Amino acid sequence: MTDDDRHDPSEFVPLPPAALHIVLALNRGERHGYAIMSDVERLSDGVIKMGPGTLYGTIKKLLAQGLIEQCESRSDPELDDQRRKYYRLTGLGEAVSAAEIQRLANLVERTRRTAPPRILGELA
Amino acid sequence: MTLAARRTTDSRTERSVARYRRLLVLYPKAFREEFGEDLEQAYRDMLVFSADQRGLWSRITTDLVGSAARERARSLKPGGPALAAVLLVTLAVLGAVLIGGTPGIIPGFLLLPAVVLVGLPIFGLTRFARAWAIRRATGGSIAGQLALGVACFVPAAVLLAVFGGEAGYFVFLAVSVSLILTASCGILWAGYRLLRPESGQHRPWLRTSLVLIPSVAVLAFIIGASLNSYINSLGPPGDHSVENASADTQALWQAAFDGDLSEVERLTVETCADPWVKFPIGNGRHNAKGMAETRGMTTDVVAPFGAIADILGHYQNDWYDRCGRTDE
Repeated sequence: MTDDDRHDPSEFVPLPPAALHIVLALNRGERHGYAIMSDVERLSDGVIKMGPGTLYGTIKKLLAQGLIEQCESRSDPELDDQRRKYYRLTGLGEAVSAAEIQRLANLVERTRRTAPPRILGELA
Repeated sequence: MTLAARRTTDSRTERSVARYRRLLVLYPKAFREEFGEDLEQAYRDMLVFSADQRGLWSRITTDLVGSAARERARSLKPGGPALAAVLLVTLAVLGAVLIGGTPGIIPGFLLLPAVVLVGLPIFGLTRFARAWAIRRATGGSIAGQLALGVACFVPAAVLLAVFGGEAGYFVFLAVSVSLILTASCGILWAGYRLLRPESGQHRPWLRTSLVLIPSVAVLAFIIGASLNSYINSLGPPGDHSVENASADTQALWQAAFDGDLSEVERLTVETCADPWVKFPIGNGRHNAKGMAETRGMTTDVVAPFGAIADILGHYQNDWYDRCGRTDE
């Protein structure tokens, strides 16, 4: 039995905002710190601008929870030849990410069904 | 970009990174050791590759202060923040006693933390902290406060009974203050032992405490000053109105209104002027010395609420003795 099997993904849901955005960014594959920050900003349409302290404070927590893991350090060909630590989701992290996406989708769906037309008009 | 321009940009970036590196000292050592280089690299990447550099430093500063505070809090032992909060309440109370200066009001200070600390578990607020930490700290704090009260009052009562008068008063003050200081150190040390920061975390713990102490001191000052001011405003019973005042007393009040502290001191000691003033303003009685200091805006902000209040108490007693005035 692996660590991932021992944890129920629902234990981690809902994720705090910073952790949620990092997990969502890592859904797209291995990322180093700056790439995660850039992806978070892009995913949130520039609303969330994460700084290095918040990023690595959250990464530390996610590592401890077993939701992400560190990969081999390497350089990013799109940037320069500096070596950077890369992170990726673990199996548990992927399960938590899926559960979180499902939760948010359900929330949006139910809200759409119950919200008054005035609000839905603004959403459209 | 020309080579010269690139060199200038590079050196500017490196200077900025060096400044950021120095600021990383705000994080706990363990966090710095694990992520310091990554933080620095991420910051350098932001400087070099980010298309939008507007507001970068304000964003970095906000991030740095907020995340450093969070990491400092996390670096404490489990339950540490809750225990630290209780210790700060204790510190505030002790600080208020010290700054308030009047040992006679200690029972009031005993009641406040007792209510607060006993109230926390009752109202289920321990869910927001570690229950065990609150329980342990509550017991320790209340016991410490009660011990402090007993330690101050028993010897003081004995000394007053034995010596009486002026000698007893000053011995009482000296013993009380030294006991309060000793008890404060004891409670602080007990709190430190309870927290038992992990190996290598002692300095971060101390630094965190040092950051928090000034805010506690301000709080203590406000509480102490307010209470002492309130107690002073009550004043002794009797007629202290302007209409029935003697010439000396009127001169004293005038000096108080003028903010002439030395004249107030001289008149209080050398004449039978009434040091308690019932001004036709506000709703309380004021002592002449406090009024003089307030009106004169003396630079020593602590004095009106601390030692001076005690000395004034001595002057008042002396005045009652010499002038044959008794409380009604």
